[in-house]
Amino acid sequence: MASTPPVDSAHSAAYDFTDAQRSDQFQQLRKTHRSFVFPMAVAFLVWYLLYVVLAIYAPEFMSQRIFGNVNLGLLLGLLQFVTTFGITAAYVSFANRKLDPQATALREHLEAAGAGRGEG
Amino acid sequence: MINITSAAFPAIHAATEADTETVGTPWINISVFLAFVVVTLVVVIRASKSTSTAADYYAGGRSFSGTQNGLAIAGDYLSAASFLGIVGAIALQGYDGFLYSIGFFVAWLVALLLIAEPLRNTGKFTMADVLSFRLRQRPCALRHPFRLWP
Repeated sequence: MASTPPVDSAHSAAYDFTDAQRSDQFQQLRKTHRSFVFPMAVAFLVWYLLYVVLAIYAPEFMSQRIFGNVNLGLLLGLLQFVTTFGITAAYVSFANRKLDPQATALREHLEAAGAGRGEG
Repeated sequence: MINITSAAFPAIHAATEADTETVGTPWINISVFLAFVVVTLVVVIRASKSTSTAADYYAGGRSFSGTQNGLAIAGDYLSAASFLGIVGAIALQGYDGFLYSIGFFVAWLVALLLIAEPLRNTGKFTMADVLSFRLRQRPCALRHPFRLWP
């Protein structure tokens, strides 16, 4: 993602964006992106809401002592931290493995087509 | 409105009693503050000499790595949100303050998963730019002042 510069308006005339948007490659890229992002977003929102609802409506459950001065509520809160970092790492690895190759291939295809059209 | 009485909050009562004596030496405090201001101005003026495009101004010419950007964001949040807000919330409300701070943190996932990549792909730099890029221009610009966060 860091290596893809945005297309500025000087070059945009050479690229046929509507065609690219309709192409199978782009639709596949979008589907791949959404197939990870939407389920993950639902999952972490449900997990966070469950945590908040438990904290509000089940205080006795949350105040069980686990060890020392630490109760279940504190542990679940720290678990939220762990899952957040985990989801970030998962997203980074997913983007590097699945999204970047498709995006780079699409960009090179666009640039080759645009260069051809610009010259001709 | 919360009525804070000194009996219920002994820490605040003690602080107001100690107001008559100064904390630390004023001239050290002020010179440290001025030193920060001067260093920041020097960095900004030097950086402004090489800033020319919008990408340079908003995104550092896209020359920062992910880790560097992350450190910059962490620096933002370490100042006001954590040290002032969350510490105070936990001190006054106990576990509820802790829960509140977790909300701050989990919300970053919304920005990461749902907003970051599509926003970057539009090539625009601010939320207002993106919205006016994708929606009709005039109604969007009118709603701009009522956004809750940049």
